[in-house]
Amino acid sequence: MRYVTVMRTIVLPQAVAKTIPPLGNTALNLIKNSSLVSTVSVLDILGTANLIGARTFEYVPMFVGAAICYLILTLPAALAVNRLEKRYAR
Amino acid sequence: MDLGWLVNRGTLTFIAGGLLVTLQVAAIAIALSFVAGVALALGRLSRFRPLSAAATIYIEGMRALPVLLVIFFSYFALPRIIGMKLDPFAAGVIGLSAFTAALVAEIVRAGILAVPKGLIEAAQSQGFSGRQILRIITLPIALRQMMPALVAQFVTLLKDTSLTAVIGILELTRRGQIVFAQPPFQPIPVFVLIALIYFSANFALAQAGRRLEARTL
Repeated sequence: MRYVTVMRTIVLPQAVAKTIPPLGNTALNLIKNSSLVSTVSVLDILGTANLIGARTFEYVPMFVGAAICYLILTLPAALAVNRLEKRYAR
Repeated sequence: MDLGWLVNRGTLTFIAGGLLVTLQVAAIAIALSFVAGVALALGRLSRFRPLSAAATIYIEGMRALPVLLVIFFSYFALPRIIGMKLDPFAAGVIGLSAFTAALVAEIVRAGILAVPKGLIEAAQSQGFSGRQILRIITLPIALRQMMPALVAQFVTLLKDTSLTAVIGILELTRRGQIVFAQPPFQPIPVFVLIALIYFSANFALAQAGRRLEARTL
């Protein structure tokens, strides 16, 4: 078999099955770590919550709201990763 | 290139002091998150439903949140909830510990579940109480199996201490910022120096972990 055929039909399908769960976890962490851009004053979810909190001193509702936003983003993603992990677990 | 502004006694002492603060934050947070993590893992594995549900919600919720949010929360919002002022150091340690405890709990839980059932049944047949089995058999064996994952988690924690710079703890990263915010305004040499210090600290921590691993085997 040619190298390309070996890769496409045998190696890559198995490699993808093995790498999907860790890749999924990395992607999840990336969603959470995107909050770090707020330290260089990007107004993402956390940056905005912090800004409004600093103006109104209503830190508790702001951060609880931000937490809910992150949960909405990450919990479904985590469920999807779990499902993939189960599907590819042998 | 003249690096006299960076490599002089005053500046280096200032940065070394930052390393000391970083290590203090990390050490306290490692200890707190380990204790809390074991407690959370035992809670999640408990047969008492409300306890197990509460621990599960805490662990899964915390794992889905960014660390920085947790640190901000413990510095800005927590004092309003508990009605007590927290200095940046305490808030940073609480935030990092609360977050890392959830991750430690999952490592501990996996370790406990990996202990062979036969060992526990053997202990039960010899008349050990549940608490004795946990203390003498399950936890020591589980601890040995989870050392690599635990060390990796604590290396991550040591790196995450840099996030406490945003709430004003004068640790390594924050002091680096202060140094390059002064003339001659050169961030690159400062970042290289700080990066090397983090690398050395984490390398030492990983090595210590490896040695501990060998000893517990």
